[in-house]
Amino acid sequence: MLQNVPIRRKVMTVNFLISAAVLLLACAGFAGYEVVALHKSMMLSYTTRAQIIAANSSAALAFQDESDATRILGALKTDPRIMAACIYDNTGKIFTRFPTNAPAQNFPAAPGKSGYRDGSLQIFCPVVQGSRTLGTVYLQSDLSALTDLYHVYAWLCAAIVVSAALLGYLLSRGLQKQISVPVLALAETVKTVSRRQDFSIRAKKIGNDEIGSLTDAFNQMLARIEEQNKSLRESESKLRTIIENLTEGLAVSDLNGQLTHFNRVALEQHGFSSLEECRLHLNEFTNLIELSTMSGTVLPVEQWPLARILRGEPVSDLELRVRHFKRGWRKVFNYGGTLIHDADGKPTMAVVIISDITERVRVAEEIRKLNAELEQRVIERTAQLEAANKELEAFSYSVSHDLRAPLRAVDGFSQAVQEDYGTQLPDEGRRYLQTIRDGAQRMGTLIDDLLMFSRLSRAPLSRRLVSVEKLVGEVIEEVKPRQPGREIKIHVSKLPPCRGDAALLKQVWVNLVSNAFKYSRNRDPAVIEIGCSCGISENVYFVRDNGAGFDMKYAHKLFGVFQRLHRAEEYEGTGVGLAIVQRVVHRHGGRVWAEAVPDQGAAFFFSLPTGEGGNGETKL
Amino acid sequence: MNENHIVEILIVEDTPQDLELALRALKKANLTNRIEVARDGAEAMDFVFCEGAHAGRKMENGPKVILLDLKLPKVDGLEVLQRIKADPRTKTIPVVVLTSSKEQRDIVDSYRLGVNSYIVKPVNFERFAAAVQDLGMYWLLLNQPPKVEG
Repeated sequence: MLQNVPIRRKVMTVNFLISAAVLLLACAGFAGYEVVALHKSMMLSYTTRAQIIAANSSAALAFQDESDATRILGALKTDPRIMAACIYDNTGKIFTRFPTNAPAQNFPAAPGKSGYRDGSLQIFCPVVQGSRTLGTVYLQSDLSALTDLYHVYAWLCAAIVVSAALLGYLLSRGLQKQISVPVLALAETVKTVSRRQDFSIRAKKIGNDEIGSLTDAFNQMLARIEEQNKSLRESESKLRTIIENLTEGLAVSDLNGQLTHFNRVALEQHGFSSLEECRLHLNEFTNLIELSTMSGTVLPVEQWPLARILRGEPVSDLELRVRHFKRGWRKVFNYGGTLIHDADGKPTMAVVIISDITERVRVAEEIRKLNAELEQRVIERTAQLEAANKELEAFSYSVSHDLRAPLRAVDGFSQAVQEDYGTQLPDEGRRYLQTIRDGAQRMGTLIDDLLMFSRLSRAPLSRRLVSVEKLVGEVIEEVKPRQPGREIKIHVSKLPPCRGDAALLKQVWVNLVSNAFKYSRNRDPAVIEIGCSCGISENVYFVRDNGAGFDMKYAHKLFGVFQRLHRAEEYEGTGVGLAIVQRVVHRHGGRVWAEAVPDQGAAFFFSLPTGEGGNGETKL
Repeated sequence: MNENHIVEILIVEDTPQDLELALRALKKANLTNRIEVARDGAEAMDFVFCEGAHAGRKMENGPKVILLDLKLPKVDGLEVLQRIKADPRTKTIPVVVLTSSKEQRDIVDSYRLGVNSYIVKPVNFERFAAAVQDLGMYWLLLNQPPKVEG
């Protein structure tokens, strides 16, 4: 019943009740004792008085002197509490009475035993003379003496109880602070903490009793909470920083599809300017944006990434087109996401990760388009090239057969004239005939060289590892016998192997070595040097001679078809050899160049890439 | 032309000058007799297989060797070569191709079809003799004395 009473009043009430109970008990005990004692002393006092009367009245009884007896009794009138008195004779008959006019029925009919009865004290005392009983004295007193005392005691008790209670109240009011103040202070602190959610507040400790320990424990608890709150806040702030600085958009929804958070990027992606704007239900988003597949099929909201995640389907790498109804923009987003579960495995929320891949998709589409265009162009060009190649082939085939026929006639019939009628011709005529044949044969050579040049440009390369040293050895063996009677010093350094078409590369070496032999034929001795400087990406081979050389200002003409830097009478040739060299080297991905000084010699260089697999064949 | 006489050499050539030079070379080798000339591929095949204008001829009457130009009107030389080499009756007849140039394509195709030798035009006696030596046809051209008609 005191449960809901403040502790202060509880303490005081308990104190008050205890002291009141103790006092009441003490007073009751005291009063009981006093009542018994008073009864005894009153009985004793009246018995004594009755004995005095009995002693005084013994003579009167013995002598039957009634008036004397009445006088003795009359002395009792000084005591107002005596209600009645009488003396019985030895027969039990009332001898005299007091007051004298009192009716006989006021007295007991015969002497009895002393005691309290009928609200009065009755005393019987025998009158004895010697061993003879002469009669009995009877006294009846009212109890007003007792009642008066009772009243005094009652007042005294009341005064004691009231003053004791007052004192108890005052004392407990002072003492209860020892208990209630610390408790109340603690309670107030708890209230403040819970109201302000401020865990940095500490309860003030008063004393080292149980409440002191309780305060300590409470403060420790607060410190722990504050510490945990701090680390929680820190980790939350870290997480928030990470989330807000993600380059992907991140959207959080509760399990009902109500969006609760968008990070900065997600807000930007959807064109929201504040977090409040994004706090919509998934279904409300359908009024803002439209999602469709990459091929353009519009998705119902049940097929949206968040709806699927909420159904427990994992979503990853889902590319969708997004259209904003009001603003009109179109983007492409890549969606991923999952349900987030708590420690018990219960789903708590859904997270969607969104990347804006508009630019990437646009670029990819552009590349695809460009590639398709390029492919189309390559197909067209290839077809054109193939057609041109076919035409060229037909042309050169026709040249090789038809262009020669008239030449054959010129040469053949000139020969026939020489053979059949040579003896009939003058010397001059035979010389003219020989000149005709030389011209025809030279034209045949030109046609052959031209055809070879054209064939080298078109024939597919069959690349394989070629031993250049072996190749050059063969070439020298082939070319040297064409130079009888000459002293030629040939120095061949170490030549690394290369990757290429052996037949075509041999033609390069034949042309360069033949040139070196040819243009050094006026030197004695002719010195020809063949070597290579090896590089990381390419090897540069060279052929150097000490022959006629040429003026470097014409170097740009060296590798052109039919371009010659020497007169035909000085050095024979068609002007196709170096053009063939250049064409073959270019087709192997290399370069070709020359250095020369007139009348001192020339050096021809060509490079070949060392990389295996070829750096690409340069066609035509 | 007598349908029954034995033909030793068939020249298939459309260019008149080339033909004349070839015949001149043969004449220099005293081989002008028993020579038959076809001016295009179709005529050559009619002759070899005794068809068309030559239906009355007998296949066993030759030719014993064929000089074949590749570039011919109607049916080209390679096709003629193919027909001759594909037919069991004629595939043993040696065929010498008269080439205008060293066009690789022609050479490769000819070899594939089973040609026996080449002569680069214009045909002169020396080259013709060399080709014959290549073929080992001494029995035909050298060991047998030529029969001179009329």
